[in-house]
Amino acid sequence: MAAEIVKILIAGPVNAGKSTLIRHLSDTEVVSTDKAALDDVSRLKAQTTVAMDHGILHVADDLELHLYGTPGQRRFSFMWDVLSVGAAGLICLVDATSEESIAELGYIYDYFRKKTKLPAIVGVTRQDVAGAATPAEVAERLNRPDVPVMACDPRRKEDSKVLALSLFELILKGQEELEESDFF
Amino acid sequence: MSEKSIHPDIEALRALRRALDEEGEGALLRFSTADGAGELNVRRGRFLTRGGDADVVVALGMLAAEPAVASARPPAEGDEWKLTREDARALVIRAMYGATLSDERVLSLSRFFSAMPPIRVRLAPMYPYADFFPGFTPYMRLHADSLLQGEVRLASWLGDVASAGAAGEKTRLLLVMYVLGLIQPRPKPRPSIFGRLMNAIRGV
Ligand SMILES: Nc1nc2c(ncn2[C@@H]2O[C@H](COP(=O)(O)OP(=O)(O)OP(=O)(O)O)[C@@H](O)[C@H]2O)c(=O)[nH]1
Ligand SMILES: [Mg+2]
Repeated sequence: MAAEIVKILIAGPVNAGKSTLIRHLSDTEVVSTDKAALDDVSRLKAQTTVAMDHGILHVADDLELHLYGTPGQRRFSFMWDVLSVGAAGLICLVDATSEESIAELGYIYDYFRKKTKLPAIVGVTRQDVAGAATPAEVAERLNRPDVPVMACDPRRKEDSKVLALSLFELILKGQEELEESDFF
Repeated sequence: MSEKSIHPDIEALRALRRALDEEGEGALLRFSTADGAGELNVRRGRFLTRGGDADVVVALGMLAAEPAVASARPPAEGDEWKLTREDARALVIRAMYGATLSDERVLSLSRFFSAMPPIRVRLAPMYPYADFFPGFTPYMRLHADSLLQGEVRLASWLGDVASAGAAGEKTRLLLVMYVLGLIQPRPKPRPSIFGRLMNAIRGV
C-alpha cells in the first residue's frame, strides 16, 4: 500500500533558517540542493539552497510528512509554483536582523497565498541577535492581522517542533470535537 | 460535577467568556460587587458602551476582583450603544491582568483552575499586545508546552510557584486566558491523519 503523503512548505527569504528547520523535523537525511552562493548572497553565507530542500518524517507505513523548503531567491520562484501543488500548509520564516528579509516576507507570503489560500504561519528567527526586530514589529510590517507570527530559533529542535505543531493546529482549527467539560 | 457546587464565583467570568466569543450571540451582563453595580454589553467579540473605554475597564476590573452575581440576557435592539475604541482583547488584558486581587480571590480562582481537567492552550495573534502584556511570554510558553505535550495540567503549573506574588501573577494570567478563550478543553482523541502527524512531530 502506498503511504499517504501530507506536504508542508517552508518558504522565506535567503538565510531565514529554512534548511535548518527542515533538518530538525525530518527523520531521514535531508536532500538539499545547496550550492556555493554567488553574488549578493555570498556576503551572507557560503551555501544557499537553489532548487529545494526535501525532508521526510515517516509516521507509519501508511503515512509520511513531506517537508519542502523553497529556495529563498526570487529568481528561483518558478520552483515555488512547482512545490506548492498539493501542499496542506505553509510556514514562512524571516530573518529578523535583516531589513531586506522582512521586506521580502510580504512578497513571498502574498505569492503563495494568492495562488493557494493555504493555512500559513510566520516564524521570526534570530531573536537571539541584538537589534533584531521583534515578532510584533514583523507582524506590523506584514500587516495581515489574522496570521499568527511567532518567535522561532530553528537551531533549537523544540522551537522547530512548536512552529510545525502550531501550523497543524491552524490547519485543524474548528475541525476537532472538544472533550465535554463543566468548566467552560 | 456541577459548576455550582465547585465554583459559584466563576459564573460571571464564564458568562463574559461566552459573550466575548465572536461566533456567539453576545450578552448584556449586569452584576454587583462590594464596589457597586456594573454592566457589560458584549457582542461578536466587541464591547458596546454607554460611557467610554474607561467604564468597560472598571467593570472588567470588578469582575476580576470579586465574584459577582450576573444576570445575562441576549442583547436586544435597544442595546445599540457605541463600540469601544480599543479592541476587546486589549481591554480585557489591561483590566484583568492589571487588577489587584485579594489573597482570598487568588485562592478561589487558583482552586478553580487547578480543578480543571487537562486543557490545551490556543494560539491567537497576541503580538499586538506583547508590549503591555507582561504575561505574554508565559502564555507563549504554555502554548508551546500544550503543543509539545498535547495538553497542560494547570494544577501542576500553578503549584510550581516560588512565592505568593508569583501565584497571584499566574492566576491573573489564567483569568485573562480563560476570558479570552485561550484555554480550552482538550480535543477528543481521534486517529485522524493530522493527529497522527502531530504525535510524530512531538516524538522527533
Ligand atoms: N543566531 C541564529 N542563527 C540562526 C537562526 N536561525 C538560523 N540561523 C543560522 O542561519 C544560517 C542560515 O540558515 P539556513 O537554514 O541555511 O537558511 P535558509 O533559509 O535555508 O537559507 P537559503 O537556503 O540560502 O535560502 C545557519 O547558519 C543557521 O544556523 C537563529 O534564530 N539565530
Ligand atoms: Mg536553505
